[in-house]
Amino acid sequence: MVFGVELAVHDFGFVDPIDSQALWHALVEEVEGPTLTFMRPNSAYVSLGMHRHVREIDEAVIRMRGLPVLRRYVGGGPVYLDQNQLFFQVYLPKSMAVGPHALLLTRLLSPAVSAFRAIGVDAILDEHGEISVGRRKLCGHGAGEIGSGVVVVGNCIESFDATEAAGILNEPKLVKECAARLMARYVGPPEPMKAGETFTEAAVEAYCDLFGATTVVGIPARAYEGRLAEVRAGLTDPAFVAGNDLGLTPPDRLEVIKVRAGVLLLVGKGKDWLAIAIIAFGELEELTVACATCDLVGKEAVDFLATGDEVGGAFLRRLSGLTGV
Amino acid sequence: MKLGGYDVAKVKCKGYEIRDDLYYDHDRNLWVERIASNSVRVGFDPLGVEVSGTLAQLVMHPNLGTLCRGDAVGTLEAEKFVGPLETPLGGRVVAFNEAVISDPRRIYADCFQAWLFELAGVQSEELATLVHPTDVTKDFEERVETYKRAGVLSW
Repeated sequence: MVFGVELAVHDFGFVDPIDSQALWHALVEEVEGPTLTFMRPNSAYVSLGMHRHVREIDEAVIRMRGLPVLRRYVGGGPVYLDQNQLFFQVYLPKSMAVGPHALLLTRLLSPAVSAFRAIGVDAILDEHGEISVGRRKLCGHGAGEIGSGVVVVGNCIESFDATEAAGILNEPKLVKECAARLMARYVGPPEPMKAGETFTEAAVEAYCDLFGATTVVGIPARAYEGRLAEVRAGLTDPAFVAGNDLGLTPPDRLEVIKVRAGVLLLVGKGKDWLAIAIIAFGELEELTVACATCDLVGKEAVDFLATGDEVGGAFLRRLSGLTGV
Repeated sequence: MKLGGYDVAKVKCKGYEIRDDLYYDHDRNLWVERIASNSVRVGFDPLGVEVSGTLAQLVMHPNLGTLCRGDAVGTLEAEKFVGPLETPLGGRVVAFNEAVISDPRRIYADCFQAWLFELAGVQSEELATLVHPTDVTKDFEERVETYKRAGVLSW
């Protein structure tokens, strides 16, 4: 992926939650060559992936905490974002983004690893496509082809509030607690870290290498300002946030919550029972069933589900598919 | 292979099995089957399946009017990458394959069975701009080679 000459770069600094989405949504259709931006939200909010149903998030909790909700035109699940995450975005005009999406994503995410290493984290792009250290994911990401441009977005997670992040999920308390436990184990750096200029400078250098750029140029405000008001209005349109016209499927009685690639919670909701399976890298770590009169684990839980209703059978089939057991 | 009660032959090409009785969209890696004089059925071809990655979501736009070639029929998400699913021909979408939309993994079992949508009102002249069945093998070989050169296919 060698284009040469210029990489356009801008650090927007701290911005309102809406602009931490609107700025890159506005820029992606305007870029004329490889472009890299950084920004950081000045307060917490919730972001929904393009194809995710609004019923996946706990609107009561979110309202109580005063968190804005924004839908993004890239993939992934519902996420909690805050000022302890430095966002970066890599853009290309569609004409330069040749090849399948999965490969493009990997190629455009890879240089970010150098930036993590520059701030002292022994990060890698692992076999699951996540930037991680050990088994901890350090960077959320998503990507999209939006109009005439392609963008890969990521965030350097400096520290991660697992309880807040799990709290926005529209799930029973038991599931939220389980998700928080897994997020604490698998998301964010082992110790809080600071990205800062060391991170952004290393990222600029690595992306210059990827694109063969020898010159770094700025991004004039006119490149995005013209579209910004319209994009802000579109992203905050309640109908778009709710996904009314997107043909989305609401969550079912059987759900998979992805904590990071390879780490999943399978949740089954029967008439009067709740089943939770923790699957980490293809292995079943824990299986529990809770109901009014029982609290089952392991084989007892399997027996309960096997002899129970239709959802129980579907849960076990899905579990088998996810673990190969 | 049986399709709609009829035997449909597949041919081997560069390690893939393809049907040589269909039209193909070279740029979008889609197959197009004429099912009536002005109607077609559309699906991913084996190369489209390979290069898309693992499809997690396939969402079709509701309330579509008459479309031009290249317009988005819906969006797809693979490996957290969201992109448009573009129609290879102009026309009106008259059917979606609900079974595939609800479970996109069906595409991996047999992409020629797992059609995506049907178009009516297709112009014959536009159909003629796609890769004709007589040229399918040659075109498919070219596409595979192009992806290999770009490092997209590793083998």
